[in-house]
Amino acid sequence: MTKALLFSPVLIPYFTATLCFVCHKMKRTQRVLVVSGALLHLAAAIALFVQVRGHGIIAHTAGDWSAPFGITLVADLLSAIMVLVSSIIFSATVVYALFSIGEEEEHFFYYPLMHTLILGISWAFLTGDLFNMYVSFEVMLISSFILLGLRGGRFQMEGSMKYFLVNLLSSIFFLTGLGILYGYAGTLNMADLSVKLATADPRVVTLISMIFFVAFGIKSALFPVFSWLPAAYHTPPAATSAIFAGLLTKVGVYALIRSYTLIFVAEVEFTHQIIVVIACLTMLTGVLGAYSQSDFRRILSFHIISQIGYMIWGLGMFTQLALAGSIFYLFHHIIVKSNLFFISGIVQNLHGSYKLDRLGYLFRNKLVLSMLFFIPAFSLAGFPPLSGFFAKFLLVKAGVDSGAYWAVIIALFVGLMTALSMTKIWGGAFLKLRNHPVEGHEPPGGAKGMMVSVAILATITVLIGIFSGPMFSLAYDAATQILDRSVYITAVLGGGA
Amino acid sequence: MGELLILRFGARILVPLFLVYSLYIMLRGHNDAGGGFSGGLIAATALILYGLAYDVRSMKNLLKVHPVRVFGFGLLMASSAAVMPLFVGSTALTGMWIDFEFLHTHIHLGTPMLFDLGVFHCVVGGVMAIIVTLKEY
Amino acid sequence: MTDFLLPTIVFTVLTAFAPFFVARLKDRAGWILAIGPALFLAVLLKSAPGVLSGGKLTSSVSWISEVGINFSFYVDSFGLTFASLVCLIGAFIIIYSGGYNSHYHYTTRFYVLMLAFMASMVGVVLSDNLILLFVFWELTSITSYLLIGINHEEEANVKAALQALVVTAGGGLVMLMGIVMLGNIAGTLELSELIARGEVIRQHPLYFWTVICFFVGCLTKSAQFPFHFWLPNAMAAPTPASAFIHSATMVKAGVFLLFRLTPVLGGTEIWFRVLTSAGAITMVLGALFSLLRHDMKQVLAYTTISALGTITMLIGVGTEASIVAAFVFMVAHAFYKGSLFLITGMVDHGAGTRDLRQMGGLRKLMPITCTVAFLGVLSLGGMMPTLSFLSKELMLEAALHNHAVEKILPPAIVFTGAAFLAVAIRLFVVPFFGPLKHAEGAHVHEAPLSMWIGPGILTALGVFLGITCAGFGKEVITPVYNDILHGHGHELHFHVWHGVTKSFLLSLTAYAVGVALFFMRRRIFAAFEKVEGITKFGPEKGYDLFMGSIYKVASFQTRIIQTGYLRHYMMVTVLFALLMIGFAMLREHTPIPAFEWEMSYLHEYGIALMIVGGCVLAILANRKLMAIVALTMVGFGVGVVYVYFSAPDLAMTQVLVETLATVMFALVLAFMPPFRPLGTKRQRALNLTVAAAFGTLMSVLTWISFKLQASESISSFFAETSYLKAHGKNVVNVILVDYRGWDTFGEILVISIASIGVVTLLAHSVRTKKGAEVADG
Repeated sequence: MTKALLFSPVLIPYFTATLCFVCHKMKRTQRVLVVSGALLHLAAAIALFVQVRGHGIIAHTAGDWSAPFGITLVADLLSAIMVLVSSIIFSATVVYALFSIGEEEEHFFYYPLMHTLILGISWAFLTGDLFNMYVSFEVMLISSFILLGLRGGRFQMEGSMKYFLVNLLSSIFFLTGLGILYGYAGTLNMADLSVKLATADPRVVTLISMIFFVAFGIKSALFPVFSWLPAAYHTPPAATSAIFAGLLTKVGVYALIRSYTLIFVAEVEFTHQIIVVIACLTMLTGVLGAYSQSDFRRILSFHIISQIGYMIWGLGMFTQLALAGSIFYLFHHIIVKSNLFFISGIVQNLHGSYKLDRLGYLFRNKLVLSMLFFIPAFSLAGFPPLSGFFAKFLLVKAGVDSGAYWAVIIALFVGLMTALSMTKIWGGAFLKLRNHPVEGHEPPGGAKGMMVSVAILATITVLIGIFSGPMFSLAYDAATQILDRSVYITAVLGGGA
Repeated sequence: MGELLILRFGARILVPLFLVYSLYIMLRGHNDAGGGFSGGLIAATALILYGLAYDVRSMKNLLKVHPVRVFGFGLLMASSAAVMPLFVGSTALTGMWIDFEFLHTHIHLGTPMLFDLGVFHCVVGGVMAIIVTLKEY
Repeated sequence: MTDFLLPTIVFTVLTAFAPFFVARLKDRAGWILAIGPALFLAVLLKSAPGVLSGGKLTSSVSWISEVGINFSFYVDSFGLTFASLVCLIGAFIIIYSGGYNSHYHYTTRFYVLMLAFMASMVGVVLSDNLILLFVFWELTSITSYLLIGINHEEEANVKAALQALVVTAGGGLVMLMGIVMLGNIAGTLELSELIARGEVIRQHPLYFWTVICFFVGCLTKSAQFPFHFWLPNAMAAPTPASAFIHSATMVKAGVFLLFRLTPVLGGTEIWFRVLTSAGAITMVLGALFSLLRHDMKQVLAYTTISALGTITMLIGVGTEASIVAAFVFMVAHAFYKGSLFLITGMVDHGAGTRDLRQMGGLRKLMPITCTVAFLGVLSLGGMMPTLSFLSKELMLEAALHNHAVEKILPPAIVFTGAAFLAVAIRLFVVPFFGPLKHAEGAHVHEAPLSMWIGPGILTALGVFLGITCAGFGKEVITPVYNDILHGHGHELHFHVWHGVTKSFLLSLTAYAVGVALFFMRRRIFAAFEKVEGITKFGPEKGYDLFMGSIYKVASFQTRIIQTGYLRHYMMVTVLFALLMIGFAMLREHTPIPAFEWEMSYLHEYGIALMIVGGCVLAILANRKLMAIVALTMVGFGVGVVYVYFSAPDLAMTQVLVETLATVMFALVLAFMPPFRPLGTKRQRALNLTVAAAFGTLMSVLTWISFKLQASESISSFFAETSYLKAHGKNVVNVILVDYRGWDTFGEILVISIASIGVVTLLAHSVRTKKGAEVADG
């Protein structure tokens, strides 16, 4: 039973996408397939999460081989959380897309590509083998690249080419790193690597880890290699950019967290100090970038970078509380950020633009939408009692605990700047009484349906804030689990190792 | 189109040969150099040859179904091979083999072969889709 | 505490149904909505006897107790008094809003926000847990932000709202750091427990920074110098909101917390110096500016700043007498200042203006307003027998009996008192007496009952409590004082008249100066006009500079980092990798094994030459075809390597892939743009250097890892078990479809999606091309 459970987050979208390919001319069948596939994925993710939460790590090797030889899939608490949150976002996106995606995208495999994207993402979270993670990255990269360029057009293509080529560079680094690592350690199973590298020369491990740091760093849009993100995320339809914004960079963050807690822990005082420095720079440049923009989605895109900084900061501090903060931040952020992109899509639907200087009147005319924007926006900015506050609080507390006051000050300053740039959107698109929407733009409809996803995610944001106690213990347990490597290793390699 | 005559003649002979050979390469893969991937590549090469000799449309006709469907079915086969073992309590992709005698031959069939066949289809379908589009472009 | 459940629910339900009430009852909705706070007040008053006689109500639910966050409340006499004030004033202001908002746009939103603010404010004063307090604290900031900007027709209002938010929330963030540090020092975040650990906390090395953080939080919230500038701008809010938030309650949250923290952090040198000086400066500056403004709301805003400064200063002085004076003044101020704002609203409502220069003689037309205003200015001017008079006496006493401040503070207090009196006279005499003057076209009329009832009762209470101060002091102020200072058994005695003391003489001086100031007002205005330019260089300038420069820095760095050129991004990426790996490698003790030449056969050199040569050729190629051929050469070279290392499968695949790739290249060759050297020589040299450095680095890294192999590879396992377990003799293939079938499972998907990508992307451009042709035709 657990075997089927472990593989289903990958196999369900695999099947769905495949069936969509086979019957790609039948629109209605495809829609049914897509929605039921998404819901099944959600059900599987929930079941997996419940199982892992209740009974501990699940690890099985594809093809029933023994661990380091076959490819192991592992669901520990962190993976299960990530799969669950991704699945929530995915389902919300599919619902949102049903109301907002045009015929043309639909004809060009929009839905199956969404499924392959979530497949790659779930896969990356679940795999216990570094090379296999590379494969999942490839699935993700190629799906996302096509989704980005789906509308054709110079504007989109330019963005997606930048996205693709820089990310390809990341893949090259990743692959090179894999080759070198395999040559050095003779294995790519993560648990096995953890065991074997524990006795290896720490200097060499650190050296090799740096290649992976760069590769994953590009994926998670760290300073200074984030440029691909703001270059691309404001170009595709809102549904696409929402799922990208929520999930793609988080896979990089997950990979960083996983590899730098399980594998590359030979010289924590060196590597993780670097991570802290990079994290602070990422926070700062990201938020400053956001503040300088005047396009709804470009502001949001730069914010992703800055928020990634927070998550990586928690990893860099490398204490239980800090990691719990990072994990809390991860799931809080995924939900909030996707939601903001959803809202940007609704705004575009109503006003025909993402540019703040062409927007206005929303607070007067669209009260519900305003409220639904306010919740994730101020959660992102870290205002209590919304989820973002607790995420930030945990990290700040961890920072103060470890005495890294300069980083805490940067983090708080960035929090203020985040609020500032959120009020920029609030002021520009909602409060301002210029550019009345009726002038020349007829909303194409569908906004009501799109609001469903927004409302659900906003509710989750509020609930995370209210039930931050259980949420925290969840994050804390996950952090405890990833810090105690032996649990993971035993689950994968069996008791003897 | 006289200059294509030799090519067309060659294609007539070579393409079936290539296709049979690709199947052979795929099937022997488990014990010798080959496998679904290289088999698929050979088959694709054969089809390209055909396409170069005639035109894309006839190549498409030769294929009978849309290339997207070809790899669609390939993926379906591969994922079936992955899923089937889950129903008997093994993990995904676990090999399930059946041995039986058919016409006095010992037949040794298993899910890895289905998987390989899926790979074969994916490669053929994928390459075809690319070539067809490029040629039409 | 369970008593509070019912009013909380009623409050929430009423708030939730506010749109309904507003739609049905229009102006009278305020009466219904006021039931929420009124009920809460009733419950507070019901529990008052118990609390004031020393019983404390507590309730605690775990929130994130692992990090010390609890949903815990704590009602002592100080919190109770404060919460009662909030509810009392709040109820009246909600009623008032009905009358005020009758011509107003966002009535529903206004009510909801006001009620939400009220709930948050009660939360601030009743929270036990500091994080819970912070949660409510920030909620008051947000609701205040929304209320200031609710009239967003004016962009100035939006700007003022943002300013208030930036200052208060920014201060809040600093305070959050202080809270965390305090929690770490004391091991608890519950105020009720912190009080007992003051000694430990003050000894701690982190005490200094902790207290600084709290200062920033409290002083920004309470609009103290140099953060005071947001408050006058916040007057953009509708008048009831200004009255409630920016005068009676929210701005007092800062001083409230200072009161609360007195036994925890107070009594030290830094506490005394910072608070006393910041408070005194604010007090004097606020008083000064209140003399110079003409808009009634602005005048009142500056007196509010001044009053808050007074309270801060008194808390800073920190003696028992000064704490009592601060508290009494705070209560008195809450009664009259909110009311005066409401009266401003009534005058504005009636006369159509708030500018003191454009009104006069309203007494006949607005008799009730005039009466209420009289009671209000009586308190503002600190006249006998109001509560505010008593508080002025107390603060003079406190200042005179403290050696550290006896020289400086009494004159400052006298000046402030004088200014307040001058303002009070002006606020009463100018609008209501003299010849009738009002805004053009205004239909001057008396305010309705809903508007005058609140200010009437509140101002009357200010006078009443002054008269009955003996009882009030015994029943309320004594327990509050004990709770603030965490002491017991000290009873206070107050009298309206306590003879001709030094402080009374000082009060008389203040009256005299105040009256003089009133009559000299025109000369003061004239003098001020000459030097008005100086005020531009106040702290607000600093705020503008800060915001402006942040924007400049942000744009600048973004222009540099996000150039829009892919080649820059690629370069940065490679440089980053170079830096990271190089940095790790160049540390001491990195093991780099000595290089040994291991190639011995001629054909090895041949293969190497083929690959390297192909690379060089590809770089040097100036035609597409040549580049493609060169790349194919590299590919085939790699294929040969596979053969050499006896991996025929890989070799075969490699060759096939290379062939196909070449075919595809051939197909698209015609569509590709011609090769053009885009970079300058210098750029290319730079590229070459970086590429060479990176290549070298990776080679060294590869060398290190292969030479210093950490453990046996798992490859041998595959070779051994391939046939036995996986029914295959060809190891490579068995690995592909069996051992690592899961990888292949993904890779076939990658191939399929990639081909879809080609299909969709090309099909698109075909179509756009066609579309373009149509458009051209």
